[in-house]
Amino acid sequence: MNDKQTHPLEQLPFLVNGTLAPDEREPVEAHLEQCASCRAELEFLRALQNGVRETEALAQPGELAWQRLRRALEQESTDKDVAATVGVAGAPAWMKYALAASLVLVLAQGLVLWRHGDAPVYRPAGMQYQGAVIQLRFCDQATEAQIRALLRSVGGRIIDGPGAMGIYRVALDLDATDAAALRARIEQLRARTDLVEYAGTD
Amino acid sequence: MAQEHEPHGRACLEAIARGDQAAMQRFYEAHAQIVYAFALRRLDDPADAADVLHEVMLEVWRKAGRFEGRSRVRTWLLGIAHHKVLDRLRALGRARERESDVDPDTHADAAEGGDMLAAIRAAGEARHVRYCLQRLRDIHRQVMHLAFFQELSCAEMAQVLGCPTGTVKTRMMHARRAMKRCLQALGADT
Repeated sequence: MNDKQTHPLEQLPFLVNGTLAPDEREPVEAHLEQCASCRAELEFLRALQNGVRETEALAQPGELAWQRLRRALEQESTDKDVAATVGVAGAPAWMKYALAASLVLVLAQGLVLWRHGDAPVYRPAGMQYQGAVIQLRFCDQATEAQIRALLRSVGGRIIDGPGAMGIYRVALDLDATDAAALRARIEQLRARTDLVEYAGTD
Repeated sequence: MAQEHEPHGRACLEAIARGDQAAMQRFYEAHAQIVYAFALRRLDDPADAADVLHEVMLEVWRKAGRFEGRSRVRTWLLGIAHHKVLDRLRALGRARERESDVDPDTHADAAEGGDMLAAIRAAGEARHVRYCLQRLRDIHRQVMHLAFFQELSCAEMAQVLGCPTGTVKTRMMHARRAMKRCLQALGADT
């Protein structure tokens, strides 16, 4: 019989951080009343928690981090406002010219990225795609080079993510209405179990 | 856990989803430190950690409306941070440690026994804890951070890391033993 079977060592860290459910906590506390070695372990873990808290509290992002984010948020809001305004009939002529100039810049930048051999397979978040879009989650161990090669092999570009579940949205160079071709690409991705944990429609 | 009241939690996210920048600032002030500390613990570089914090908070700004309340806000946020960190590690060309890379814990018996008083004594000093944390494997340092600083349950840690709870328990066991060995050695010297 090993320690795991006789002592609730796996649960002790979670007793210390207060996240054990009552039905898990009660047998552990009953065991502790009778077991001096587990009480010592608990004392060690409590001291360890205090040390970890004290250490991690030193990590502070600094004042400039919020200023940087605030500027980014304001820029995003401005971009949205401009897009909404330009969409209204009768928008000022200067704004239409400004938008046209911006589009030329974006297209030129896209061309430069496309022509570059090691161009990332990323596109700015928020862009609207007319083609097929799928969801992908990569294995944690997948490297950027492997992901890039995989996406190129299926004509895919990351357009968003990763979110809380590690999901990326990927646009494929397919007509969104071509269901058979879309299924084939998804199956192709699912076959790469060494790199892909999940592949499905958006 | 999901039902538990969190200040600057779901209501704040709903306001952010409506484009409320003041709500975003409140949310940032409440959560920036935990996201930054999480990223720093994994990336070990303040500039990279600051970039990840920025990307995570932008994601919150853009996707706040997608929060479904199935988990605590902190768990959801750290899930985003975890994947942003993986992205950053990939970009830096640093491979994530595989579970199979972990050496068998050949000193397990010694660690479960050993001089517990020395370990407790050393654990009482933050500088010793900091020293030993820095010598842990990444995946073990991460579970120490999530359990003792972020105060997540085993299931929440599994959700953030995208792995089974059994894996979390195994990593925690290795991390606990490695910390104890390190602290025992330091405590015996003092």
